[in-house]
Amino acid sequence: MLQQWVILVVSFGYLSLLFAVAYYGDKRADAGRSIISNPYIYTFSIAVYCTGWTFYGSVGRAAATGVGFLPVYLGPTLAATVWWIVLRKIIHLSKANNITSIADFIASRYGKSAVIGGLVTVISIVGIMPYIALQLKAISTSFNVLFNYHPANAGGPGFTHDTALYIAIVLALFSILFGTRHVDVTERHEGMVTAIAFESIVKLVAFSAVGIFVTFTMFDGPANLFRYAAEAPETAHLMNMDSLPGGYGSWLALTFISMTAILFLPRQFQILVVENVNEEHVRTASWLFPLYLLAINLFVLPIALGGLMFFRVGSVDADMFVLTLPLKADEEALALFVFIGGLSAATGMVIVETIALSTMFCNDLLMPVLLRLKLLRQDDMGKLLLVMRRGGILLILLLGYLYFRLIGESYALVSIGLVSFAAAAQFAPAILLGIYWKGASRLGALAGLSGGFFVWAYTLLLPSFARSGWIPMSFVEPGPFGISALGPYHLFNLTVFDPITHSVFWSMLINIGLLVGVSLFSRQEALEQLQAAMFVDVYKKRAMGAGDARLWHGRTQVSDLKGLMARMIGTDRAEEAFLSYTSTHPIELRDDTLADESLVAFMERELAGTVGAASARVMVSSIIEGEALSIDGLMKILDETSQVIEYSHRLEQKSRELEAATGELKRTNERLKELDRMKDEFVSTISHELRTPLTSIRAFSEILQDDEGMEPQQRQQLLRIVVKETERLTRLVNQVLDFTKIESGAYQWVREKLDLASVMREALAATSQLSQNRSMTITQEAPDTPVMVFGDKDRLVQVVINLLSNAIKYCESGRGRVHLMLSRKAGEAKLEVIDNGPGIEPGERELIFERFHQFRDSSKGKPQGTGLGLAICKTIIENHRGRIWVESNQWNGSSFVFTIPTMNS
Amino acid sequence: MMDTRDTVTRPHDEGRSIPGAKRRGERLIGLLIAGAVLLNFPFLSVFSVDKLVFGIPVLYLYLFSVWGLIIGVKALILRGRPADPAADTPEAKK
Repeated sequence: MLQQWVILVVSFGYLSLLFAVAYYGDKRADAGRSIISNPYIYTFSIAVYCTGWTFYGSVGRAAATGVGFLPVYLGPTLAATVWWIVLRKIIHLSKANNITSIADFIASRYGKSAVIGGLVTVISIVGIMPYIALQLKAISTSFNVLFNYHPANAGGPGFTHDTALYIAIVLALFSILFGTRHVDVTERHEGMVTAIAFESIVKLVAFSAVGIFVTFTMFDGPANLFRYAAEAPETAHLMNMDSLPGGYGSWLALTFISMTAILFLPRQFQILVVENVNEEHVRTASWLFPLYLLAINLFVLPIALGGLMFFRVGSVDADMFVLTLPLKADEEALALFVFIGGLSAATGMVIVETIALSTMFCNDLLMPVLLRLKLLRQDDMGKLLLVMRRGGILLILLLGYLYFRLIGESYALVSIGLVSFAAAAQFAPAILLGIYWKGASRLGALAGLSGGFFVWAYTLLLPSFARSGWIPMSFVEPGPFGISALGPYHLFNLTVFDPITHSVFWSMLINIGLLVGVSLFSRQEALEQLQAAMFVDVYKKRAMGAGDARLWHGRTQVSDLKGLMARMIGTDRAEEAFLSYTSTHPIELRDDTLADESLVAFMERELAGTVGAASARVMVSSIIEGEALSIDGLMKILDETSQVIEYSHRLEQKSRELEAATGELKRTNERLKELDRMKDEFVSTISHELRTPLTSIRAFSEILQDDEGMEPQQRQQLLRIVVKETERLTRLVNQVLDFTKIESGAYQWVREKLDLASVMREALAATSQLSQNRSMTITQEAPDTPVMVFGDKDRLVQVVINLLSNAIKYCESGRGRVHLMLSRKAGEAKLEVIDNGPGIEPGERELIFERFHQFRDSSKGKPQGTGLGLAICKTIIENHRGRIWVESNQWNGSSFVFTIPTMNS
Repeated sequence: MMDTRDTVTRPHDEGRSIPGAKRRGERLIGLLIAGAVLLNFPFLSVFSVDKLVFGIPVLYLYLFSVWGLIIGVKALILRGRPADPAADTPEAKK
């Protein structure tokens, strides 16, 4: 069944199907109903990470090293945990700046530097070369395995001599058709993404199919398979870590470079960042993509073990077990399906990688050079761009093919791929430090990237050339000129690592060391500072404001700008860009008006989407009259701005502090005013109170003085009044003194343990004369045991006397009754003074405790007290942490009650 | 079904404005560190033994279990309603 033509027809049939899928994706995008705008397609397209390496190479790796194939998938799983933080920021930045590739991203961050962009592109192309070779090798080897299986094909046409070359050509055409059909190379490739997602499903299903076949049909389930494997000597050692070359150090290094590769391989950056439709999709992809990885790796070890047990060791290439096992079992249809799965894995990678690389090649390498040489004066740049990109794709695949030729059969698939991973890891410091540390400078990035790249090339790329015989093997062992300290696999005689770990260690050390070191000791230019601040603080939008708009201080006419845009991206899209600008900015654009700064900045960003940030900057500055601001001017603007921001921050803070202080002052002032008012009131009331007795004393004294012939009896009566008023005056003055003393806090409290009953008795004794004078009945009631409180005895006696004399005073002579009741309840002592006097209106009950509030008895017309007695009582009781109030009672009189806390006796 | 889940998660989500987003980031970083520790020396050496559990090599079983666990916890941390209604895709309605 597997004649050559069958294989070819099926392969081309599958590629046509891919085209149909891509076409459908493009159509949907054109119709505005994007099919890729959902997190699942996004996740499946990320699975372009799983290439021919995963499909064929993992099994080979597992057959040699047991679990050694896993770090490459565990790394991305770990990295994906922080995608929500890191990847989202990168996507956000890329969308804001129209970034189209990883080179563009790094160049943008470091001051739109064309040199950095070019360097990143060179590293990418050289670094990815082995990776593309890997795919070519995977496809051609699998094709040959399938082809040679059929006896009729043996010794067939010369087609098989150079399968890889034909495959490279077909893939190049395919990528060109996929990625560069339109002129508008800036837009996302929706059709391509759809096709890639489709391929991811195909490869997962195909790999699982062969996994299930081997595990369950050939070996009766995993338990049996592992049991046999544990017993067989050639597989038993694969169950633990011992068979991993380089041990745990290598494991760590592989995990690390895979963590960086998942984000910073150019094709991963393309899919994850450039083709991303919605940042929210990262949420699902963060866990669903690792799940995909887990699923596609589930059967790797079973297939590897199965293959090792089935074939004689060394007789069959372990990388091809997925194909040879079904073929051995004569399952030709399954084998063909597996071949298609492998084709999916490899083509997916090649398509995305070449598109990403050719974009970089064109925008970040060719364009800046052509611009510098002033060779670009054509009218239709769009067509030229397209040609350059197509050429780029061809060139990249050709390089991959050459590398494949060079290293030939000497490497296993995974070992080839890891070389590329180590290259992609070189971008990690520049990007990650770049988006979180403003201090990372252009010179630092330049030094770090070139240093890391140099070490990588020396320790991994050159040795692979040596193996192919390009350079003598003695270069690797013992080392150049026979110096072992320079040996690419053991620099400075560091021999504890395997080659990959060794290279990762030295290149990362140099890369990070130079990036940080040079950044710390170099001065950033203005544009760099601006870009650094924008990248690090991308979420603080307000802080940035107009951003790079300020950088255009030259003059240009709208017509010039239009001309430039039309040349670069075509008249139609240029018109569109201008329309979209005028729709958001209230401005009329006539051809002869001067373009303002924000328009120029807007157009620069538009242009960056097509030719990259660095080139866009050079182009725009070429039409600006009077060079954009001098560096000193820029620095001044920057310094001024940051100073103004700083200053306004401080001002804001000061004004907040002032406001708070003002509020405080206002409140204090109110309080002072209130106190002042109260003082005035107090003074006037006191004067009034003093004047009343003084007036009567004076009046009666004058009568006594003038009227000498007065009867002795009458004289006696007048004198009695004078004495009484004098007493009242004395009492008043005493109370005022007491009150002010207590109120002002000057009074010294003499606190002791005392029995409240004795206080009550003392007060009764002191008022007995008064009560007898008015012939009142006074009764008392107290518990048998002493009621102990902690307080000032004299003051408490004063309170009781005060209450008692009030009660006596207001009761009717002869019929008056007063009852004193002391009780104890729940930690409180309670003393009630109950009388049968006139009682107090409910509305008055609160007020009588205020100073100078006098209880007016309408029948007597004249206030009888000083108005201070109860206020003093209240102050004293509250000072004893007690309460005082008045209530009505069963005799229709009033009861004055106070409570104070008792002591635990 | 979908309504029940919504009512369960919503109050949780509302309390998770700015400081909540920060807390989610911290959880993710915590998970990254925990995962990196579990999937490296010396934990791996503990499980690197020639034994079968449920018919599966111990190391293999351990690696895949931790792997699955990380994915599960990650999905839990990141669940919730998307901020952007346009992105209200099936994952929010599961």
